[in-house]
Amino acid sequence: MGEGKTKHILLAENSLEGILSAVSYAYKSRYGHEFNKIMIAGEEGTMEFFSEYIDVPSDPDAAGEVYRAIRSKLGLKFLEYIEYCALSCFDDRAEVIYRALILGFANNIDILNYRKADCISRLHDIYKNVQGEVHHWTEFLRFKIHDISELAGMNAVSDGDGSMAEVPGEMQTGIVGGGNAPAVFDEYSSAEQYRQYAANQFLTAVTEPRHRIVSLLLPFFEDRYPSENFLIYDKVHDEAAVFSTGKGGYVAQRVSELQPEIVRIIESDNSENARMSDLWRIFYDTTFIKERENRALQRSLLPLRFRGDMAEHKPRE
Amino acid sequence: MVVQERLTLEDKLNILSAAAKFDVSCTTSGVDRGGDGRSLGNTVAAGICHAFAADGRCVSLLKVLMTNECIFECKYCINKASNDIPRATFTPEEVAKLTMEFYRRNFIEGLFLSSGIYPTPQESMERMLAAVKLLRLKYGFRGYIHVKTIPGAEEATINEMGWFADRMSINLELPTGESLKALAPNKSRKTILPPMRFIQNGRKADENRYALTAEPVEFNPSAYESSRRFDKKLPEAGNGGTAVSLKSYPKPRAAMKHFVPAGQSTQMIIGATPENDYQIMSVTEGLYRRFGLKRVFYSSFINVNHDPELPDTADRNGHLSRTLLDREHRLYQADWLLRFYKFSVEDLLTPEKPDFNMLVDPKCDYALRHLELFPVEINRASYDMLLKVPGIGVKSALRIVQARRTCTLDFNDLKKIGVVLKRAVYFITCRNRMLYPVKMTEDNLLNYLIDEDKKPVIGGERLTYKQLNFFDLGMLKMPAGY
Repeated sequence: MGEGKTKHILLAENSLEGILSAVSYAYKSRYGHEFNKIMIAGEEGTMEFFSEYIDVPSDPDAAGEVYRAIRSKLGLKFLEYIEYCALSCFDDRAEVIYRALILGFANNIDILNYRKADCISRLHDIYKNVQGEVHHWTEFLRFKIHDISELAGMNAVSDGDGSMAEVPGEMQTGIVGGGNAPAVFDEYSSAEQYRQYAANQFLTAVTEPRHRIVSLLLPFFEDRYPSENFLIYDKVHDEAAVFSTGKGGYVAQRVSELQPEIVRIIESDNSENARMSDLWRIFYDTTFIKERENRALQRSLLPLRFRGDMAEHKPRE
Repeated sequence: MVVQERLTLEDKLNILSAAAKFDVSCTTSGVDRGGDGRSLGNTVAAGICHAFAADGRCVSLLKVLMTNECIFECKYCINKASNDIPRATFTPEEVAKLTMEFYRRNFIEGLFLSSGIYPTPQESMERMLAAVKLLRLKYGFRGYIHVKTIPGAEEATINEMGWFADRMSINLELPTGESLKALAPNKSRKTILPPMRFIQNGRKADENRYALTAEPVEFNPSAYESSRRFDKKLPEAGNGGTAVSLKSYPKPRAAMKHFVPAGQSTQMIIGATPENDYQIMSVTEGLYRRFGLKRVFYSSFINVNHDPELPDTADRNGHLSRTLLDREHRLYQADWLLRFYKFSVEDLLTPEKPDFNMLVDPKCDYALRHLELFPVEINRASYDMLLKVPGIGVKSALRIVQARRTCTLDFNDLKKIGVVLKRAVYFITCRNRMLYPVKMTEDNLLNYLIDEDKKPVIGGERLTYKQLNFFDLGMLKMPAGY
């Protein structure tokens, strides 16, 4: 039965919402899961013969239904795996989510531990890969510190829909004392004075991750730097995580298109950062024990692709 | 002594980080402290590395000495009193600001502060305490802080430091009291073990505060009486077992929530003195079991002072000798077996066979000497037994236990769940079958397990397996009448 049916290839939008909409579409179409395949629109690669390509638009209601079903029936941990998977860069991510959900909804078992199934073991692999990427960037991300006055004249950073979100208040109004802010190694008479000094600054960092991880980096740095305004820019996917003290953070998309000035600020540098980088280099160079030199080990622990923004790996003058 | 009028911060950092680099510990693990939503910093239990030096070691803490002036004369140390080297001293404010500015740029995970002993142990400790308190109280820093306990400092100061630091460590330096006396005449077990015990007791008392009992538990030193046995085993331990009630040392105001939450660590130099692996591992086991240490580090000796009385461990190119590095590696492997794999030293080494097998790792070595336990059936073996299988680690064992709840596992499934079969394959069965037919004898398995490049041509006294000879290969005929 069903032999020779045309294969349906569902093209989902590149987001968790898009993928879940396609999953919902596949269920509701009653076409049969074995004849469906979900791919991300724009990543079809080589077209397949004897199959019908269907564009499935993102539908918040349908996706919401699936999302709630996952949360209540398969648990929060499974949901986290699915979310990580959707943020990854692998071509099969939509298909893996689709297959894992079919298996999960059909069997009332501890599905994440059913690693025997290909889709579940692949889900674990993807999760691990994304998690590894997040961990690497929490290690190797480097911040530059800018004075808040550099933001003068800028009003907004736009969010995903292209609508304009407010730039954090402190970033706008922080021009107070911007000109004669105390330098790092001046004496601070009190903790309050230091806090003032930090509040007049904001931190920027650039990442070049494989997966779209800025939204996963945000909670980590939110917890770590509650007293700092910061912005983490993902050069590859053109997204940024923005956080301002006391107000929380959000992820902005299409940054370079909508806010080219902010990218210019991120790329600029100042003397304070240069001095800190120099001090860091001095420290880094002197901790090296020459008798134990082992470049291969260093390379395996710190792959070359992370070294772009690290002061200690920039060529010495 | 080189007298320099005014050192810049750059000069000081250069001198004082070079002076601190031989301390191995750079871990930031052991304590999970979320941010408080106001001030800078948090810590992650798994630890985070921020850079890797060209020797492959992770750099996660700003590891510096408060000062490299020192009144002690330890023969292995570059900072010993009689050495003619540039000396420098940080002010507490400099240390605090460097830490803050590096931390804000995500260069580091926190501070590792040690110090030369100058002018007295107590004053060195107090200066370190000043820097740490400045960071915690003035700058509100909540990241990781590792501080060295200075042998000979007063308990009240150590107590106060414990409430502001995450990890404290005091180096045992050498595995036996005799060696310590020979190489570090100013140090002794009598000044090293009591502070270690003091911090252990403090941690215990702190944990008891949070015990699920109606009333706060009175800290009872006699509960640690048994720990004195270890001290007897260690020569020169003296009254290392002194249990101190924390009553006389209250928690300082505005301190962190816990006393030394990430525990203690220590470090031993290997290769400078003639101790064997069995002695070193016995001391390690004692430190873990009796002193509640979190980590013991091993540091291959480098003769930085070119002392003619001490061995030269570097090869012609000035690189540490391969043998010593391999030995250090074996010690770390065994260390992990003690802490996470439920092994004891007696399982791994004996007084008759006191050194590690350099051909295979300690766990393989154990398995080869206990072939009666293997092969193990993956679908039925207990978690503890899975941990004893070479090639199966804590993570793999856990995954196997989880995965077999839903299905029976086969070799393909093991691969899928990420178990590495390279070594394990000789010691396990799935559904009562081994993957390959293997003759379960020590020398046969050893032959499979040794990496090609490590196979010995000629046997040494360390080998416990049968040496191959020409008769085995059939290249020679057995003489008649033999």
